[in-house]
Amino acid sequence: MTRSTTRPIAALGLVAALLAYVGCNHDSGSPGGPTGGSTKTAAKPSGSSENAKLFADWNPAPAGVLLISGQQEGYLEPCGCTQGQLGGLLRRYDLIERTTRDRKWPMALIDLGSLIKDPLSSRAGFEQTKIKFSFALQALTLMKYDAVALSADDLKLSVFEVLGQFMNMADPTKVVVANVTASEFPKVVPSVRTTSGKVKLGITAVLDPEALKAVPDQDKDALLQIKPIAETLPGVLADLEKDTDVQILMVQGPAELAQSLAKDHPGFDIVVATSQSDPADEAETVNGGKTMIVSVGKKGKYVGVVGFFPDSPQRLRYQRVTLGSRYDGPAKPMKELIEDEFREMLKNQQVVEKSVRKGVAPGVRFVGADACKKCHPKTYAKWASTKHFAAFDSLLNDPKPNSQYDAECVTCHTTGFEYNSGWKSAELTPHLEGNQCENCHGPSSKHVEQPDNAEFRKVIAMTVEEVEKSHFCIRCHDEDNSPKFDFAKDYRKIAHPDLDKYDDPEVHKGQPAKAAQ
Amino acid sequence: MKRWIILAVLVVVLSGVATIGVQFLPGQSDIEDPKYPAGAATGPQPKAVVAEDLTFKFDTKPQFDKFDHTWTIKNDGEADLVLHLQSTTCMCTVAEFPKVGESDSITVKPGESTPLHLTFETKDFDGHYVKSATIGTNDPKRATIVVGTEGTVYPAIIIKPAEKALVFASIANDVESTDRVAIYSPDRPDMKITKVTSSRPELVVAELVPLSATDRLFLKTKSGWRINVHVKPGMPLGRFHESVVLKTDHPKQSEVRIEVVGKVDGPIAARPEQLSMTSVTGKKGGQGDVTLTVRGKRETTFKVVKAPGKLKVDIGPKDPAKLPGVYKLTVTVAPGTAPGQIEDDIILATDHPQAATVKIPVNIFVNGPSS
Repeated sequence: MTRSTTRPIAALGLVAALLAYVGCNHDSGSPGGPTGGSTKTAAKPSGSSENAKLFADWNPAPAGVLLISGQQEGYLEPCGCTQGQLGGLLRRYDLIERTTRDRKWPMALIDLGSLIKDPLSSRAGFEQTKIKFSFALQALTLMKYDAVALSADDLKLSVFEVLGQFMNMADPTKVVVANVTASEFPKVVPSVRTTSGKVKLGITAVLDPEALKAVPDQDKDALLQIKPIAETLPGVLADLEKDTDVQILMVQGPAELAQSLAKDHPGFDIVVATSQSDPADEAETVNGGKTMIVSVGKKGKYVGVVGFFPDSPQRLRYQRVTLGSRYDGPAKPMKELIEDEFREMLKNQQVVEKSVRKGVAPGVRFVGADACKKCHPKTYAKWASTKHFAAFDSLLNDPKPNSQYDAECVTCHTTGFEYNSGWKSAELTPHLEGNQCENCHGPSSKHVEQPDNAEFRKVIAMTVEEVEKSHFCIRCHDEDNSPKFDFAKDYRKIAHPDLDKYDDPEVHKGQPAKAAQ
Repeated sequence: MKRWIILAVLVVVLSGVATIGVQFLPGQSDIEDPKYPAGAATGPQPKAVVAEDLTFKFDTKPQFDKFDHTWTIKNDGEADLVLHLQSTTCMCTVAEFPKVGESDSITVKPGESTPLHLTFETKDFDGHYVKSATIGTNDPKRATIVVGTEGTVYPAIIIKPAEKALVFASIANDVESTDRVAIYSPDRPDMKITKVTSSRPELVVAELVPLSATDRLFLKTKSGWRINVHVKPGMPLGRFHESVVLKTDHPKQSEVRIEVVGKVDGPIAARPEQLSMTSVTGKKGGQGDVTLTVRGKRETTFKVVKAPGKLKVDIGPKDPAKLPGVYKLTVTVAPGTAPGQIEDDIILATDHPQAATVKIPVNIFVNGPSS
């Protein structure tokens, strides 16, 4: 081969290689699903193949579909920061796009509520949870939800705040509840009528009065008027039955309440119940098969899709859909809302700096690992070789923007965040970046000031046994963020017993150990 | 030379076009998953049979426990049965075919069977526990087999009520407020609490009291403790989040944390405490309200002494007949307001002897064009 022919061939080869590289890195939404240690497909219902053929027996196409979601509990994105988790609003958006665009099925959408949970004690803090709720509502209106049920979980944010945010919701989304009225808030209605193709849907919801009683809010009684479910629901159902083809009830209360309401009011075709665990892949039926009871589980990992087949003996069919990585499409509008605008809002509102802090013992404060280094140089070096050292950098390197302003991230990637004198920001507390000594040992200023004081040492001393029995590490290495965490195996990576010697007299005078010089 | 330059430009352009172009390709279709195509339509077929119940049910198990169960899958068909470990509902569940060790798949000849072993970890789960694994098969009538476990997982130490925190939703700063929880251990009724600490010991005080006979009957426990948490007068105004930590002698859980959260109100409470409006448009303007509630329903006079220039602020009684001591502050963004952020405070002067002024932060985003 002459030089004159080699060059063009080499050039063509380079072009082909470049094109192949670009093509192979296109995210085609490879099969994903429940976590399993490697990329595997989602769980399938027994007897059918959920991922191999979604909606397998939905032939011919349904006249319309209803997408049911709920109990998102603050998970705007998949659980935690680790790979392989399920859920997230981007995936839900992608599923909706594919169903309406690719399959061309008309779709109505409803949400059971519980968009957030435990606003007062959540890891994100109250202010961030409030912002999250606002964005969760914006996400529903972006996806053009028809109805969201009123829930006690959401009202715990503040009845007034929540009702006010409902008022800001864009059409068509309405808040629906049959047995509670909020006379000053017209977006809260007893029922919603919508269509899915030619199928007319009548949607209502109930809120368990006991759940509402447990909402600690002094404005509750002034703003909300609750009536017994038995008094209001039959009338709402009768009204919907006049002019809709399918009647749907969402039940914000214990699953047993949904079961009993489904049996007591057989006029409902679909009843959506809460669930404390992953939902079954098939819907339960009661009333001789007339009523379908659906649960979608928690954290937004799954949604339910009901197909309407008015000309078939099986009028309603159900498909549980796992929101795994197969739905990692671009979802551009939702991505902008959740990854860009939400995090930008967290940054602008300074939720981390302004977070409510716990007290520390009088006169005690967080001092940072550099203060420990003086007398514990080898222990410091060991820590500096671990991922704990680089925990804050991993936030800065997160492909999603502004993770360092997200309280849920910062709480485990910095030191002392929840406490007075703990992390505030990179500008104000740069000495507390990363997961340092004091996150486990506690604020150590008194020990640094008087290293020989045995009482001060005792307060911050910890043994492996204590760490294991108190399940200390699980505060950060929990199921969401660290599903493969195994204390016995993983603790060894950071263990640091007896690395330093303290027989150097200079150390006891508060001077650096000679070994460190 | 010219040819090389043209070629280089072509390469860059082609790569750029391809990079942009693939973004518009549809993602994987959710209609067919090519990894798991349907089996052959004719000829001898495999048949997967599992004799035992697909769900291993247990009554209760403690947290931080590991347990396992084995199923047997038999091939009752006439062709090789291929089984593949597809997925588990969480990483706390590990599935394997013991005959092939770490391999994800196994082939079962007609008439033969294979064990399928699942290990479950309860970790810090609490409540109704349902975990499963999905096995893909080439049985044309049974594309998947789902096996799993179901039961209730309980913590070593139970706290009732089981809420995540003790909530002092709205308390006054000049009186003591108290709330309580019960703590007991189902498997160690004689559990001792060896130490109690508070993150703010001078203002959040935890008191330990043995459960009464009535409590023990109600909770169905032989013994346990009631923790009374007192928030003392003098707690600063605003939100607070503290914790009470109990050290125990339980071998599986040596520490229990009780989060204590709430809000201390002064004599005049604003709801919301900060007025945030994010969907106001410059073209249409917008309006937001803040409700001011005066403790003791005292009739109070308010006067706006400071407000951002772009906003109109009005205040008056909400409904004097039905809601004495409750006032409504209305903030109006007029149509035609220029887009941008309005972040400032509204300050009200009052005639209340204990609250001469009230400050309400506002944070308003005016979106889009103003006309």
